[in-house]
Amino acid sequence: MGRMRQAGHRSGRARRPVWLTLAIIALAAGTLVYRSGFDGAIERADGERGPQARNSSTQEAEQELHGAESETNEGWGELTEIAPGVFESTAGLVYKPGSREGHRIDHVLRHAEDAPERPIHGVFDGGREEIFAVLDEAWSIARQRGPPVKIERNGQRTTYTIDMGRRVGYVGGGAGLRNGYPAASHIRLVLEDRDVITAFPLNP
Amino acid sequence: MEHFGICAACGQGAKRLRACASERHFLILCDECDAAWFTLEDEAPTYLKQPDLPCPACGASLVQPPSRWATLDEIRQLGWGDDLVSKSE
Repeated sequence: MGRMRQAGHRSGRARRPVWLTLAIIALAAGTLVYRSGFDGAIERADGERGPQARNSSTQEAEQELHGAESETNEGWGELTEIAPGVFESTAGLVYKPGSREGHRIDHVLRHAEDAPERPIHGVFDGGREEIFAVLDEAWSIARQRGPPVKIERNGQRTTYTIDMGRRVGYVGGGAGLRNGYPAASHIRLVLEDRDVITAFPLNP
Repeated sequence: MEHFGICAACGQGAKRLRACASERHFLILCDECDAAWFTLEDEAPTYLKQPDLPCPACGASLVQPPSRWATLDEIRQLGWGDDLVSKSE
């Protein structure tokens, strides 16, 4: 009998009183109304602010930081000579003299076709224009720091691996030959500041 | 192509032995991203100054001629022949 009473007592303590449940609901509802009104007040008082506007401001700040001119794909991949031998792309990537090919443009364009003698060699779809355009697109995605981008930093060197969400090339070289030249949906972009060291398609 | 494996820094290039322009020093260099190693035991790469990649020992370029990839004979003479992953005789 004593045990039963004790068990019934425990059960009674575990059940939340109705008045307490109502109080919690009322409190939660009040908080939601308050928060909703708070956000609304900000947007009404200042049309430039709010969550979307904050994202836009962040993007603008990053554009300024990285010298980007456009978030659209209009004219992506166009290269402008900004100093003798130095070319800047529409999205702000910089291609300078360097590498054993003599210029980073030529170094990247090695990936316009397969190199069977290399152990692995990503090959871009398309020609020169398409390659520099897709690199600008990749850089634009990379600057947004979103989930499809993996970033590794080592000193002034930064390696971006960008999931393009579609085929951008294939895996060539010896590894490609052995595996039937699988499609590549990622781009790896190796930069020092905005200077391109190399870029190629891959499957990470 | 003689190489010591795939570059862990970029995941694409081959780690190859490079003679600097003085032809007196050799360094392991990624042929894709220019990451450099002094020995095969080094895990973390060194990044030499672009664009000339000066040799850490003498300052001669690792890009400009007569810098070049080491021959198979040179790799063997340096005692690294057994570490090659791939070689063309």
